[in-house]
Amino acid sequence: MEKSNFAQLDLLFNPHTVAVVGATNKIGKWGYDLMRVILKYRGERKVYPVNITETEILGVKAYKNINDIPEPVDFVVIVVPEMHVISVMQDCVKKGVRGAIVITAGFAELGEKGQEIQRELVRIAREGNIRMIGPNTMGHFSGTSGFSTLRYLLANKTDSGLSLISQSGNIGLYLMQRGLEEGISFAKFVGSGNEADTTLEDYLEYFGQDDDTKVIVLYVEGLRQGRRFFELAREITRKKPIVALKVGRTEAGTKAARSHTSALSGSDVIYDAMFKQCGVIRVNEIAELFYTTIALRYQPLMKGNRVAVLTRGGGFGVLASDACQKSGLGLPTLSAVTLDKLDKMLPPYWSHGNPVDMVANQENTYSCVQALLDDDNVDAVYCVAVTDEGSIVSGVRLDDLDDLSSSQRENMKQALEQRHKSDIQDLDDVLINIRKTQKPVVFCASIPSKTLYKSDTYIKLLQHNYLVHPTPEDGARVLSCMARYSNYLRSLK
Amino acid sequence: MFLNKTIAEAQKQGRTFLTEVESKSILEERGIQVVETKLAQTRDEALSLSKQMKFPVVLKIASQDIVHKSDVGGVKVGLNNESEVGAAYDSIMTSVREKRPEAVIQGVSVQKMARSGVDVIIGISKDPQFGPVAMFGLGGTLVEVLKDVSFRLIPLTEKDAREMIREIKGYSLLTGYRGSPPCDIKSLESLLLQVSKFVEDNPDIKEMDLNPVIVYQQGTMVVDARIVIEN
Repeated sequence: MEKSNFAQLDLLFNPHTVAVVGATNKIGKWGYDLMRVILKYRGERKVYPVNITETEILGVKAYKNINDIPEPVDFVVIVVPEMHVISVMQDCVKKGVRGAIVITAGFAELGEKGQEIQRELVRIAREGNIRMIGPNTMGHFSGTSGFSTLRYLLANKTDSGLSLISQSGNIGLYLMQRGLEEGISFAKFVGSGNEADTTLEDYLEYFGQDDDTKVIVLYVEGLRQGRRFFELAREITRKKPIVALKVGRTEAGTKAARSHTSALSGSDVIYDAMFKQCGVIRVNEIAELFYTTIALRYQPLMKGNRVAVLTRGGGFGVLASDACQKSGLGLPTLSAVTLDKLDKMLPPYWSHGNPVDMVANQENTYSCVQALLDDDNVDAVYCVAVTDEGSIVSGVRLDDLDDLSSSQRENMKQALEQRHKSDIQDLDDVLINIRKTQKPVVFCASIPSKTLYKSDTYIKLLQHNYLVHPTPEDGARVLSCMARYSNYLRSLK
Repeated sequence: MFLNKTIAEAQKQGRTFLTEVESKSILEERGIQVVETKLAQTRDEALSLSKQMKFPVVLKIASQDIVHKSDVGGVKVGLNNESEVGAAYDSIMTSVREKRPEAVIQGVSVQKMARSGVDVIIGISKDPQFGPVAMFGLGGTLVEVLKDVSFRLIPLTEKDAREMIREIKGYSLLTGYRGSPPCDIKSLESLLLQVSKFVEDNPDIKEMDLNPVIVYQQGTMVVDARIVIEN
């Protein structure tokens, strides 16, 4: 990307002076919510509401036209009804604006007439040297510069390095909300809308060069510049991972073809091959997209595909091993040294092999993880053994002591608190050491998530950027995606 | 250049594909091993060409109007002597004239019967988004049923060629299955790269099937080729 192009795209995510055309005081209107969000994040940024009838919006002086604003404006948010969009864009050109987002819908997505108006809109913007996001978009966001054109407060100031391009606004919002639930904000987001001027490929190129972006996340319905995407992705994936959810898997190749090759070349198999060829990690589900993104962001690269599985019981061991093998991962034999170490930490009846079944043992889980990581036969550890152990002794919980006499209750409370303190301390130490081994660890719950979410263990793991996956299959898929990406990087050498 | 001339000539005639003889000869020009194939315009020519090539031979209908030759009774294989060749020629002509009376017939192609090996398919199609795409798979008539194929965008790198061969489920058939000798996978990789280069140099190629390509212990052989061109 040329420097001037990069600067043009960069401005969309970090403008100095912003006008919001269509801002309003009317509660429930898009122009109200959006204005509120912009003001909340604005920081040093100057924001001017523009409304033909209202003189003050959310306490900020409003102007009738962008051209009445007494200083230069470099970015405009357009959230007026569609019949006014063209004339607002003409005003923007007159004002010398450099970037715009058109939230308004009612363009190419409606058919021929809408397409015509959209073409006119693009023509005006391009002639005026304005880069435009949308139309028909949920907005965009930069957590690094603190700028948002979303209707909702869905991200915080962050340097998480996660940048998301979504061809569906709803999916984008879902992912950001999902992130917030886990305490992780996206660094940059754009709902690409109709991609009339700037396309997914433009944003991809920009994120590829953007130092704030460490992992690129894509929700793709269909590419407009497939070849360009391929060339760009091939370069970018050498430096940072791209994870993509591409929908439309089930579409059959319907072309009337005269060769076997064409008959077999359905659009999805080509997408699949293309992603593989340029190192993009394709996932199949929205949860998998989120999990994989987080893992690729915070975990070290896997050096091979050999996984040690750690569980609290046979059932989870089988589920996890099956899921790993189905995802193309291998379960290696553990070294004698590792077996020795585990012998010292586990009861004598443990499984003595991989998967490591601790057999309902409550202690030393995280020290076992450490022992497995130290094994040269192991490229990653899959710990399918996360519980709320910090609050359990012999299956009794702090909130479940009613049956005891007051003195027994007091003793039990003390024991629980003691145990809780030492467990959490252990966990902290181990998690810090785990980071030093430069091997990934993926965690999975062995109790249902609602119970787990409240536990200190869960919170502690999150603080260290480890998600706890709800099912053995979820975590195995994430491990497989990590292995695929590092295999790809190795295959380039 | 010869290649462009063949394609351009066909385009000028309003045709959308090259005949088998044309397809093979432009592949051969690129140094790709193809089964020896010659056009016989008459029955006598078919007889004398088969004698020159040494039996067994194969006869196939040669017509710019017919893509699927087997479907019209236009293919006879394993012909061991002159009288079998003569009978095959007559049978092909009768059948094709009956089934496709409007087709312009150039004659028959006479081909050396290839030794057996592992049949694979190498194909090209054009994707509206991504342009030319290469396909590799286990060949023969079952390819559309088994769908054991892999794809890569063109141009292929060596890594692409290597991976697309290893990616198919039936890969072990190429490495020597149950005592059969291992195939020459290196040559197969080179062939994929040659095909990729060929398509890059000739953007007017729209679709192509090399099916089957026979892979031997040493080397490969393109037995049938079909090239569809832009018009």
